[in-house]
Amino acid sequence: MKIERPYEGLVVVEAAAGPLGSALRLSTAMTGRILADLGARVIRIIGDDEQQQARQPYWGAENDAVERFLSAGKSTMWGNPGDREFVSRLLRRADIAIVDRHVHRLIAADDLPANVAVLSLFGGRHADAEIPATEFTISALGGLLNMVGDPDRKPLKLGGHQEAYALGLSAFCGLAALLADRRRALPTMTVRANLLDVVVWLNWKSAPLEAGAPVPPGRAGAAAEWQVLRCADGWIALVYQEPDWPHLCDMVGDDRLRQAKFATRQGRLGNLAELADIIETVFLSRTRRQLHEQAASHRLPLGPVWSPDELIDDPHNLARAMFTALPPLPGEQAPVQAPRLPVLWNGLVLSSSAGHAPARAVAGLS
Amino acid sequence: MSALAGYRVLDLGIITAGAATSAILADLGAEVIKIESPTYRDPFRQWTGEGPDPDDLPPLFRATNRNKQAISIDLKQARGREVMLRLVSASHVVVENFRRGVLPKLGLSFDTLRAANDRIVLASVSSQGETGPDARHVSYGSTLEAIGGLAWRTGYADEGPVISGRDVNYPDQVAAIFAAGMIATALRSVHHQGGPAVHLDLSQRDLTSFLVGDAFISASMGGNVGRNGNAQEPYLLQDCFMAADDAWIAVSVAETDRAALSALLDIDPQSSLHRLHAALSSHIAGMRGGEAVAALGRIGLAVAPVLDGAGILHREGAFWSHALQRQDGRLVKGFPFQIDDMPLAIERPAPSIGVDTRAVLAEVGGYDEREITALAEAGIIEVGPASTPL
Repeated sequence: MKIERPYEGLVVVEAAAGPLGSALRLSTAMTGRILADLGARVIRIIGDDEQQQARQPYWGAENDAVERFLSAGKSTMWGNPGDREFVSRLLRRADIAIVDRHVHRLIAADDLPANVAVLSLFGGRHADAEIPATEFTISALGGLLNMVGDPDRKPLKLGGHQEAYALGLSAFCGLAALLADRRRALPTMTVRANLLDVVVWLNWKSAPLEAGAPVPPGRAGAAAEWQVLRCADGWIALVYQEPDWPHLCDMVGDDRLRQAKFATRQGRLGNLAELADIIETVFLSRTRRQLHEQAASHRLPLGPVWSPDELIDDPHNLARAMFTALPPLPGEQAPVQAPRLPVLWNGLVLSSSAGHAPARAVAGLS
Repeated sequence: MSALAGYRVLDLGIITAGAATSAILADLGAEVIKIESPTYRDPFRQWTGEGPDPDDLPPLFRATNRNKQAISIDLKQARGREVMLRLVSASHVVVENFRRGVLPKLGLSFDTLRAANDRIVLASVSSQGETGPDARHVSYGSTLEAIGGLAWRTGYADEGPVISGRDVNYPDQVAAIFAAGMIATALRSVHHQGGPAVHLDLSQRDLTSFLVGDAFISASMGGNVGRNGNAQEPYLLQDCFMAADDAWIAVSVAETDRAALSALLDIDPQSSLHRLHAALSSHIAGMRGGEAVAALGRIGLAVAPVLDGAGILHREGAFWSHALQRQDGRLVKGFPFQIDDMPLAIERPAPSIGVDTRAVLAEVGGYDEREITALAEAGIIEVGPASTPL
C-alpha cells in the first residue's frame, strides 16, 4: 500500500566534520536516518578521504554495520564538509540542515535553511572549546558510566552507540517541533543539542536523587534490585516493583522467598544477593521461553535476554514486521536484516529501506 | 512564543514513558492537560518523596508532570466518557500508555476518538506495541533492554548480560524523546498538510531494538555479536582505568593517538594492544585521577573522570547547561535540547489532582458553572483546590 510519508518533499542536508565513527558523525546520521524513513530526501556529505579511512585495519565489520544502518535510505554526496562554498550551495536548496558546530560556523546565516539542528559535544560556557572527547568519555562525565556494571569492577558502557543515538533522537525531536510550528516568526530556527547535556538528561536521577536516597545511585552489580540472572538456556532480567513481589513469590514457587526478611522492600534491599541466589537457583531449571510465559501469566515484567539472531525470528517481531531486508550489496547472497523505524503510523510501517508495508490490518484504515 | 504553542494535548500518560512524552510537549509550549480519575491516580504520585514535607510531590512525579494542567474525570462512567470526548473534539493530541486494551475498554478507541475529532493524533506509547503476541506483557524499561537486544550487547567481555537498572531505566528515557518527535511529526501532517487523523503505535521495545540496529545487521551477516566490555570500533583501545586515588578514568585511544601515547608510556609504538593496555593501566595507577586526565589530555587523548552525581553538578554551566533545571531551589529534570529564540522553560510546577478541572471544563469543554457543579456532585469529575495562576 502506498501512503504519503510525512516528510516527503523536504530536502535535508547532513554534514559533520570529524572522522567516521565519531560521536557527532553518528548523531547527525541518526537524525538523518529517521527523517529519511519519514520520507525526506536526505543528502549526507561524506569527505573524499573517508573511503581511505574505511580501509584502515582498525575499521572492522562492526563499523561497516553501523555505517550501513545509518545510511539506509539516504543519498551520498562526496565532498569536504569543511568546504564553505560546496556546503552552502547544497544548504541553499535544503529545508533542513543537520550539522555539527564546526560546519555551522562556516556557513553564512543567509545560506542556512529554515530549520537547523546544530550538534556539539559540550554545552555551557565551554561549548566551543576544542576538547577531545568520545561517546565513552562523555558518558563518564555525564555519570552514565558510573551507573552500569559491578561496584568492585570497572564502570561499563551501555552496548552500541546509545549516547550518540540519543543525541540524534533529541535533534530529531527539536526539528519535528520546528516543522510543526504554526506561528513561525523567524525565517531560520535553530535547535541546539549537545552530547553531554543529553547524557546528563538520560541519567537525570543520579543527581537530583542523590541527597535524599538511602544509597547514592551508582553501580550495584549483584546487589542491584533489578539484575540479570542465569536460567537453563541463557539469562533473564529480574525486574519488578513493590506490588509485583507476591506474584514473583508465586511464580518462583520457593518457600525461602516467604521468609520474614524478604517480606518488605527494606528487608529485600538488605538481602539482595541472597534473594537473587535463591531465584537464580530455581530459574536454572527453566528456559527463557518458559520463564517468559510464566512471567506473562503472573503479570510480571521479567525480560528474557534474547540475542539479535533470536530477535530477528521472534514471533512478536515477525507479527509487527520489525525487521526488513536492506537492499543487497553486490555479491551479497543472504538477506541483511535491519530494524524498521520504531513506529507504526495508522498501522503502517514507515521506512525508506522497507517501503510501506502494512504491519497489520486496521479496521477502517486498510 | 514556543514551537508547539497553540496545540492542545490530553495526557492520559502515567508513570514515566507516557507522562514524560507529554512533559516534553509541554516544555515545547503545547497546552498539556493531565487527566486522572477520582478512582485512579498516576501511580507516580504515590512513589516515595524525598523531603520531610509529606505534601511534597515525589521527585519522579514532579519531573514528568511540570508545565501541565491537571483535571480528574471518571472515565469508567458514561458521563465521564462524554466529558472526555467533548475535550477530544477541542484538542489536537491524546497521549496514553495504559496497559494494552484498557483504552478501548473505556470506550475510547482510536475509531471513537476519530469520530469525535477527525484530525486527532492518538499516541499510544506502550511497552511492546499495539499488536503481536507479547503486546499485553507488562514491562519496565530494563525489561525492554533484555527483550529488545540491548542487554545482549551490554556487559563485561565474554561474561553475562547487564542492564542499566532501576536508577537509569534507559529505554524509558529515550522513548519520551522519540515519541514527542513523532507526535510533532503527526501534528504537521494533520495541520499543515491536511492529512487524516493519526494513530501512532510507539513501542518502547521496537525503539530499543532500533537503537542497537547495527547489531542486527552484523548478526544477519554472520558476525559474532556479543559483549565487548568497553571496547568499541573504531577505537584502538577504550576502557576505564583506576588511578591511585581510586578514581576511575575513561580513555578512548584512536589509531592516530598511538605514537604520542607510546612515547608517553615509553613503549615501542608497535607494541601489542595487550601491552599498550597494560602500560596505560600502570601509568594511570601511578598518579591521581586529576593528574592522569591532565597528562593524557596534554597529548590529545579523549580522557575523562567517571563522575557521580556531585561531579556532574560541579560541571553545570561550564560543560552542560539545560539537562537539569532548578525549581523552588530543587533540581528537576530539564531538557535534552534547546531552541534558539524559543527556549524551553519550566513555567509551572507539577499540578495537584484535579486542580484545573473547573477551568478546563469551562474553557475547553464549554460547560457552564451549573453543569460542572452537577458533574462534581455526581462523582463524574473531581474539582481540586484553586489553581496557581500561570
